[in-house]
Amino acid sequence: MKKSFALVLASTLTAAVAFSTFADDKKAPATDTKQTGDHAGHKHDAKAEGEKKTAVTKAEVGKAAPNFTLKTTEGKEWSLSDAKGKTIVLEWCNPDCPACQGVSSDGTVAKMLTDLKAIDSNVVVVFINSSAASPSSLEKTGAYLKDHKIEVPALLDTEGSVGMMYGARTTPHCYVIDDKGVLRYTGAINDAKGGKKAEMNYVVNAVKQIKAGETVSPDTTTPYGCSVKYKK
Amino acid sequence: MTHLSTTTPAILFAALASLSPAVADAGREPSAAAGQLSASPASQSPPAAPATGESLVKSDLVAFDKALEPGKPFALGVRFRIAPRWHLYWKNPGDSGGPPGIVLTAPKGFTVGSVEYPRPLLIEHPNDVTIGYETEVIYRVMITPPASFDGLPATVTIGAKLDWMVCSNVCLMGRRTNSIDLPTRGPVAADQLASPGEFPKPAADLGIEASLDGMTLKVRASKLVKGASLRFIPDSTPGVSYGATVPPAATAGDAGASLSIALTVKPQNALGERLRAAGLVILTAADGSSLGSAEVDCGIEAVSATPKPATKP
Repeated sequence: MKKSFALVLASTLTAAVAFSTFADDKKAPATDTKQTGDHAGHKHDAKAEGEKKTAVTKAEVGKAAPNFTLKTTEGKEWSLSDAKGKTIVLEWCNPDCPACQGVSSDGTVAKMLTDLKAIDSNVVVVFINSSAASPSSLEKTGAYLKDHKIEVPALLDTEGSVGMMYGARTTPHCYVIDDKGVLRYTGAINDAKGGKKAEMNYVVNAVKQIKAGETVSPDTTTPYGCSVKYKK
Repeated sequence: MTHLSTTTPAILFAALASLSPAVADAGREPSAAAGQLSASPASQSPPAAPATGESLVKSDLVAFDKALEPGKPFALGVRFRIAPRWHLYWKNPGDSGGPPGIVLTAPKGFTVGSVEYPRPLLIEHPNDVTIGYETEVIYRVMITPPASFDGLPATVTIGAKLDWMVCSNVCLMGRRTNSIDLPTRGPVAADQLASPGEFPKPAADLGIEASLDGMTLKVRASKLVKGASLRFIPDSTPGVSYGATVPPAATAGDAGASLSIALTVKPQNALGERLRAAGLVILTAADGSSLGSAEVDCGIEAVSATPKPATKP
């Protein structure tokens, strides 16, 4: 191992990310784990997982977004129903995830917030951290938003129940709920793909179409980034 | 894994592991993974640096073909060697992650093909099924030299700008530039050569057939030996989904194996791309060894803008 391999940390935080997207609306746990690789230690009980998932109302595009209440990093309670009548954007975010750091430090999130406000001054944006890394979540999430000058409430979902309800699988993973409380978009923040710069912010696109009374298209994309670090 | 160092790096990785203690999987020993990587043999005096995307992944360019020849596509490999228990991604990463960015530069007159992906593994965790590679992966890119080597120097340099997301329980970004000097007259050096992994073969060579039956993708391997398995790993196909990140495999009986995968097609989510059901079909013997893989691609046409669930006959 050459020494030079172990040097740069700062650059990893802002490294350009190559991602791909593919459409996959609902995922069911794969049941066959037999593979050529040595993955014996990674298997999980897919059946139990499936049962747990169906126990709650799942968020679904075109249907009413399920209500929830979480605490903000400042300890206040925040409920989806509090923002009733407004367009709401949920962004799953984990300050420890380099993909989230990337979209914050490169200005993607800041520009999104500006653009959203320009389209609809009443739009409500909240961050949700479903990472189970509770000891650091509160301070880190608060500090993260401050560092990136992102002035939105950040909700802590350490138990992961809201993340599971919405099917959040990556950070970032975004959702747009219209003023009638219907989920209208779920997926990636933008179309950054394979190292190419983003051309479309899907969240801004959805809010624009909602404001104009149009059909949201795309209404579902594949989110990219780190997996959500759910509690086990 | 018997030679893991558990010295200084354990400290640094404790910091990383603390980011997600609740998802830490004892079986995966993340601290050991970082330990192996960042422990330098004679343990120099400075404290070990934190694991980074760069420290976890070595990269270089290698040759699959033995010599450049005028006008003939030359197989170049972009090799990543990955710390134990960390992984990189296939072109469709699955539930999270993303494939590396690979941008090659070649001298004037050379053309650079697109990145080709060897057969991947499924990396399965609760709520997160990803598709990728552990230990080592060599992506392939075909480089086509000019039809005449007249005027070319004795060696040409192929450069690569690489960036990647490497994950275990947490993810890190890495980036690096690499290059390789290839002789234009005579064979490439032995230490530049590497053996390619398994790349897709023509479906017909493996007896694989794929077709659409309404909104169901049918994949068949009628000559597959009894007990072997057939699996379809979806490509990134915006607007088309397969019910699962990776649908379950089928085991071959006397008449081979077949899969019926119900598609959900939403043209409004196609992002301007052609609607298609496409992916990699992998064949695996009962003992886990590979029986080959092939790409399949079925175009989907004439779907109404508001698709109704397909009615079962």
